[in-house]
Amino acid sequence: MVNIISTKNVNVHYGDKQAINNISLDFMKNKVTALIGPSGCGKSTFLRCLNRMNDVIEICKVEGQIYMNDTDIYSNEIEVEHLREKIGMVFQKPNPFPKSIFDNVAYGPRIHGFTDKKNEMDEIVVTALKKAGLFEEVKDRLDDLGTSLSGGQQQRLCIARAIAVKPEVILMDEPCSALDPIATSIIEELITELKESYTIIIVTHSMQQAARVSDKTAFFHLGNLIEEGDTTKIFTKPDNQKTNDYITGRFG
Amino acid sequence: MPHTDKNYENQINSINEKLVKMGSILEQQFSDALKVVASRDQNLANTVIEKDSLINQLNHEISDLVFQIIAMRQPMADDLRFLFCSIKIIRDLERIGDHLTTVAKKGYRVSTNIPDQLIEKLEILGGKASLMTHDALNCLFDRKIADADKIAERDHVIDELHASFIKDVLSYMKEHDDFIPDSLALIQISKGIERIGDYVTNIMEEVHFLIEGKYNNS
Repeated sequence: MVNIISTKNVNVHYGDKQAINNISLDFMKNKVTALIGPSGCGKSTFLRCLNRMNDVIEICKVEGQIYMNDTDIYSNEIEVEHLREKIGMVFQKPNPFPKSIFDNVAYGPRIHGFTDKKNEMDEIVVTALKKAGLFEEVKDRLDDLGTSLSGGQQQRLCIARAIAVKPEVILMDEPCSALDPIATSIIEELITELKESYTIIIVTHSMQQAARVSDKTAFFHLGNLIEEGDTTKIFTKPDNQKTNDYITGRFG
Repeated sequence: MPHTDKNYENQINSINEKLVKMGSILEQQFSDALKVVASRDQNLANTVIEKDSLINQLNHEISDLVFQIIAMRQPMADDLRFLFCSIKIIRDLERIGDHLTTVAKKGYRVSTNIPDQLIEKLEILGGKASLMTHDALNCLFDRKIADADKIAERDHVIDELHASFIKDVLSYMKEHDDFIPDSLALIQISKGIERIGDYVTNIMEEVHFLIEGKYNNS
């Protein structure tokens, strides 16, 4: 199995406070990796290091090595916009632009100059919506506002928006926490379909969700990586007592 | 470390307590059933037979609790292994109870003119199986993997003693026609005890899984 992202000795500080302590963790291509741990354990901070979302936080300092396909993503030669084309992100709360459904998806391809031909853009948008499992529900109202959709549909619109720029990796930060169980199931099914084409790294507070959707699980606690491994192992017989105690609801 | 949710902790503890109760009733049953074989005491036999319903009741109570916890709590890791193993262990304990009932039922009916050496041999077999069961029940709560594996190995001894006893009964039966009904009862008693050895072995395999997260394939 090939690693698409490799991290080594990653330390993150917010001012004086250290949020991530010397974490080394690799992510396999076309697999879903779940990052779990109690609030404040550093899982979201670590996720945000992977597409340099922490760059915008002034007091945040990231050290260590983070490579995607052998390229140092923190190198000066890397353009952050280009990096985020390769490593897309879906957030906790669906955040469609106040634009039409079509324009939400077309936004990325447009700013990255994928095409200026209308029929080609149509195809990009339709393909992305289909991959996100949303096309059938919105095909007759592509000009409606993205914000007019239901929460679950909005989240799939955000996934379509991420997919449209042809990323290799999709980061998801608690993508279902604002959704009802059915919308959650649809997203989870989608995650399993998407891993055929993309690598997915998901932060989730729901242990059951991590168990359902991920191939690999990494458990974070107080900024440390406690344990990582096959999801089936982590949830049935973790090696570390802390992992066991967290996933069985003994702390956190 | 206890669960943050005390209700969950209590539910898990309640299963453990019921397992302890089931185990202690079975130990008493085992001791009484063997006494019945030695003494042909019908009253004691009836006590063993009647108490089997307690074992069956605990079996159902634990099943119901495990079923509820799985539905309501989605247990993981050591909790999941404990519940998964409990469900299998109580089935084995319940079967042990059934076999002890057979031992008691057949035990008080055998005539008093059985040669002493056969009864003594049966007592040795019963004693070994009873001790194995006692150690296994302790191991279920102490959860030491080396103990679990060692106790499981003792099943060979039970099997050998059973085979040797059957051989003796058969040769005695060949020479004494009138002994056939008693022989059949003795064979059923011995077979019952031998099966208990198998169930205890199963329980030790579950305890191995409970601790290690995989079965002992050696």
